[in-house]
Amino acid sequence: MNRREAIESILDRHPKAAFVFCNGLNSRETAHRFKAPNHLYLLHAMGEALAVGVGLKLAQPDREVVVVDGDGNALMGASASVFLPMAGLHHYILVNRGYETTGGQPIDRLPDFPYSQCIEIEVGKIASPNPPPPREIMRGFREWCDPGT
Amino acid sequence: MSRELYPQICTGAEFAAELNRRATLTAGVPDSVIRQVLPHLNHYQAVPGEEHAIAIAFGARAGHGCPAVLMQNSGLGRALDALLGLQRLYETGLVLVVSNRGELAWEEPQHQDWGSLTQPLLDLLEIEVVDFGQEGLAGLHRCFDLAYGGEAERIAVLLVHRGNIDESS
Repeated sequence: MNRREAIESILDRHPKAAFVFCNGLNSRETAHRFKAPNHLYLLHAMGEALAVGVGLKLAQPDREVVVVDGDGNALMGASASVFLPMAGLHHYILVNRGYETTGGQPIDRLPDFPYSQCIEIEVGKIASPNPPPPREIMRGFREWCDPGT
Repeated sequence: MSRELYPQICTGAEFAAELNRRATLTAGVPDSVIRQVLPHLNHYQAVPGEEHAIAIAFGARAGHGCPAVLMQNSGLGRALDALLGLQRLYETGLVLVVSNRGELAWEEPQHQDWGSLTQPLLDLLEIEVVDFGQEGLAGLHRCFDLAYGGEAERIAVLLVHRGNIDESS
């Protein structure tokens, strides 16, 4: 399974959820192929996608929240996994055992993430531009998840 | 002989009561200066690192909440990349309550660098700083107004000095 197929399968599993994508290829390729207003694409702050999802879930407890991480991101933010399990929050980790965004440097060891769903993906990336500007991402996402609408 | 402290402005319960009025969520890492605040907070989320507190607050704001983060000044070192890569980059607001450890001569040496560097660091980052010692509880409310009250959201730091919030017990 490649990254696109993995992401597409996750999107299909949670058609009504709010999504947080970690920075790097997960955000880039999702914004390039599957851009949608219920997606919050992180452009920076490596390791913080899960904590962002936790905050979103705490602010909107009735909403299903899905976080899509990479293995490098999950490793950097591993201490945020203490927030799991959290009802209605799903944490996926796409595992390719390397820092593909920065040239494929290997990740030799990963801890267990017992409350996350790890999906092994093939190494490989497509040419994808940077996601939309952050202001545009945030405006679209906030409009989508406005509890008043 | 009692140690030197800055003038007391309020108790922990009084500070928490004002924070509860404005914040929909508070997150942070415990600190002895604010230890008497924490038990009185509604919706408090303890976190294992300040960078996660910043990220939780960012997620909460994306979901239309009005979060506040509490930390000691050394936590800024851990939090900085998240603060710049989330709130600053996406132009979303944040109320950040920071205790300024290390300002007083008797404080432990491990706090001294942060005591002298906190204000210059925040100035360098062009982050709005409200001095709790000068503005009191009105300053806390001003932080919320700066962060969430206008068309343009901002990061606003409330800088708390040792003793401003009762530390006597």
